[in-house]
Amino acid sequence: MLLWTAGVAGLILCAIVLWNYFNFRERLSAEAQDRARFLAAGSADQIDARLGPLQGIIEGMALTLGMQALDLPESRVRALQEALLRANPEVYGTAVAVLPALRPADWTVLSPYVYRDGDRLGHQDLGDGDAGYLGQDWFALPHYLGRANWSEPYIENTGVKMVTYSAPILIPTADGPLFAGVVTCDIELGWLDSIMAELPLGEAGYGVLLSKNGTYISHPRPDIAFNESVFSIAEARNDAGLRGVGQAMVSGEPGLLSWISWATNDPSWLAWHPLDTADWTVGTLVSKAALNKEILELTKVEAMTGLGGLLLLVISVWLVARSITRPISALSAAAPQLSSGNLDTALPTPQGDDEVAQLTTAFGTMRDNLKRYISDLAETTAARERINGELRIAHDIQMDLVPKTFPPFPDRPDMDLYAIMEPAREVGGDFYDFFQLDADRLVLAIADVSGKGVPAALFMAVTRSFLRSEFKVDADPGRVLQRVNDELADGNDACMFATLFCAVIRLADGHVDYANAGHNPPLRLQTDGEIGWIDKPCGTALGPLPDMTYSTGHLILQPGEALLLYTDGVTEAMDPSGALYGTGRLASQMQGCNDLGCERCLHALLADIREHAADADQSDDITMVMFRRLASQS
Amino acid sequence: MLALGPLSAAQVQTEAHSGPLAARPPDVLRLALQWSPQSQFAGIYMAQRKGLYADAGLRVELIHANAERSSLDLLHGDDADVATAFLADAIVAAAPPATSQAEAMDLVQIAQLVQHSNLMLLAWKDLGIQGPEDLDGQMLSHWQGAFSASFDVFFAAYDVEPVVIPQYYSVNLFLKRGVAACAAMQYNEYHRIWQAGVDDERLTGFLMRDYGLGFPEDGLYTTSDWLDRHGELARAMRRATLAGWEYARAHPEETLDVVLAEAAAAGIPANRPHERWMLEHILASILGTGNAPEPPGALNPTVYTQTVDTLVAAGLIGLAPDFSTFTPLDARTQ
Repeated sequence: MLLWTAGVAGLILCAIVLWNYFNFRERLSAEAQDRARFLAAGSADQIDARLGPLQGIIEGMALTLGMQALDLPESRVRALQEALLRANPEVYGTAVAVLPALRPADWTVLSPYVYRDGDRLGHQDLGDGDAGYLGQDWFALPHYLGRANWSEPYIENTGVKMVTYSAPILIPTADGPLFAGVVTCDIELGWLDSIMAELPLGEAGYGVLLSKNGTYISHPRPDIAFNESVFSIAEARNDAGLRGVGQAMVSGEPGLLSWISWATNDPSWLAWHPLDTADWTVGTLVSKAALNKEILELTKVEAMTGLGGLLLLVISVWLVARSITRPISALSAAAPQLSSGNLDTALPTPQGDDEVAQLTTAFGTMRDNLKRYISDLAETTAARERINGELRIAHDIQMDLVPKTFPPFPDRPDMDLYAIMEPAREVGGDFYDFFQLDADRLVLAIADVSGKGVPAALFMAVTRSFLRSEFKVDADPGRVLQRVNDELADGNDACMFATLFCAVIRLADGHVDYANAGHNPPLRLQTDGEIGWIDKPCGTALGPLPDMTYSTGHLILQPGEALLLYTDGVTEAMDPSGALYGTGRLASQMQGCNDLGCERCLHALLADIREHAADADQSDDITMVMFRRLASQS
Repeated sequence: MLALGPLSAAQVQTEAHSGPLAARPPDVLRLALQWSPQSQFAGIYMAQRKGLYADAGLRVELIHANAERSSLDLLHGDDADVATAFLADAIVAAAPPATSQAEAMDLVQIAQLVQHSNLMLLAWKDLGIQGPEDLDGQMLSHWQGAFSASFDVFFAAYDVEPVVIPQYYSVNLFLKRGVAACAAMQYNEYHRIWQAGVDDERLTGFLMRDYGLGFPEDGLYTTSDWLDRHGELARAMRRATLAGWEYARAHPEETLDVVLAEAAAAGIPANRPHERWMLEHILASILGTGNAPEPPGALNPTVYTQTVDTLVAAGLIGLAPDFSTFTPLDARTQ
């Protein structure tokens, strides 16, 4: 996640830096062109602002002298010149030079010239008798051009740059204006270089000033000015392109182009602007390389800032991620231990109130609940184990209550007796019993107590005790049941009850007395295979109500005939679909095993019941007692 | 100071009346050059710098003339022993016309350096000047004095009558289109105009020698009196000067360095391409291209006669000295 965050942020950063680089480049390039153009025009204006007023003064003077037809005393002319110098500190000297033929008669000089000589003003006659100035540009150009003129700048042997402005003195005549001479002023140009040097053209940028002839008047390289022209440089470098640019620059029209400076070899923007006064041109160069350097610097700063930010972001994300993942990692490390059952595993301490802290708290609560639950479970299990143990003992005790030794009377060949009791739980509510009242009489009993489990078992034990004791009092089954019922009903608040069938068999003759307190009718299996149900007489179940009477029934059991006593756990055994085993299947099963001994017969019956029940849980106690009277050998 | 052209009045005074001239050792040979430092005098600078004059037993001091005082003025005023001058100017100075107030100078030639004319007229093509006949009625400027003779013959030959105004020290009037045409030296003004950004195709040029006109130009001159006293020095001067030009031809870049240094020392604006242009053309004029009529340094008698005839016809001279008087060194060697 950290890598992803850093990668995506890095990509975005790169895109922003690139976009900014190109955007900067475009904007700075446009700005540089504007700057070059603006500064060229601005410095041209600045120079014009200094030359323009002087131009006006000289032209005014020339106009005055012309209108006066030079009719002005020499002293007045000198006074005028001195006043001009005093009022205009930039003017070095001023001359009035006339054609010798038109020299006013009262003038002692041909060309009065006043100039600065330190703090005072000096005077000179430039003509000095021979009018040699007639061929000088400052005289000849206004003379033949008929208009005021700025000379090509020149450099004094003192190193001072000068330029001369001269305006023609034109005397109005009938034939038109007559050229009489010129008024001039010499202007020091020391300030030109500082104007050009102070232009804010950036690193490697510079300004130049060209005369009409393309001669450099100002150039950052001192050896260039006045020696070289843009065309001499072009010639020296055999650079036709530079010559073309020079021609455009001195054409009098402003311009701008992309150019490689010959002085610095830098790709640059070159702008130029002509002056309104002198026919010179200001050129300004802004270096593209310096510009690109500036852009690169900007971009570098931006990239470094961005990288710093990215680093901070990565650290922050790492810290935040760690604050999230550390508890989660600790949780995920603890979870397998917890799941393997080690509930004492330490969990991270939740910090703050975020989702991770809540999850950690929830994990802790779950662990604690688990621990508590397991502890409860252990207690419950221990209790159940104890109960189960007790139940097992109860089972053993219950099983001990019924006779389990078979054959019970091995010395009696006249009978075959077998019983099976399969409680549905550890202890059941069924019981069977048999015992000899004397050598001839055998009591058989089977009972089913209402309910199951321990209460039923206890009730069963009580019922059996009463039954056994009552048979000792009086062996009539009907009366026995009546008394047992009375005993059970006494204090039977739980309203428990039991069904019970008991019979007293006289082994000598097969006479059977029996009584039934609501129990399933026993089955009589005759020797010929006939099945009979001993369903009468039948009374109510024992326990709920006192003072009940039970009739005693009688029958003769022939040798070979058998009785099957059973509880409803047999006939009501259910298969998985809920179908009952039923009396029909019981009867036919019993018919099928008429020839078998009691033990084998009951096991066959039990097997058949189990087959019927299949996987279904045993829902009720299964208890069966089978007695067969055998023919006495004697 | 007020502008007086390439050299100021102050500079003139310094060179003319003070400095080296005032404290001249007696055995120094003072050589006056026509103008301020430029390649026109390159061979002389090299002869001086490379010790060719010294090897010839000469201690030469160079003096530059100017607009106020020409090299012949310096010679005439005994401020120079030898001077360079145009042939026509020298003849005019030696044989002024009878009508002139000027006194004839006692001039003799030591060597004829520039063998042919470099004089020309340059005209603005866009003012309608394609050929000589188009000059008729046009305002043009040219130098006065001996030069005007060549132009007068040229105008007469084509029967044109331009309005001529005197031309002085610059071609700015022409560049500002105050005149339709101006005089130019092929090795100098022609290239200066080109260096002012004017392309050749905008101009029509008339080189006088193409029309069979013009005169040989720079030569070395002295007075016959000086020559009589220092004949051997004059011969040595001629040989060493020509050797200087040979050296300049063999070492053009070194020569240009020297010329530019001379210009810088004199405070004269100069640039190398212009000085190279001038050097190449002047070298061709002095040492020839192999088909010059005379060996370097010698004046062809026929050319001399033609020049004299032209000057006489123009009324610029009276009776000119004969060839052998004018060129005694050549006459004596022949």
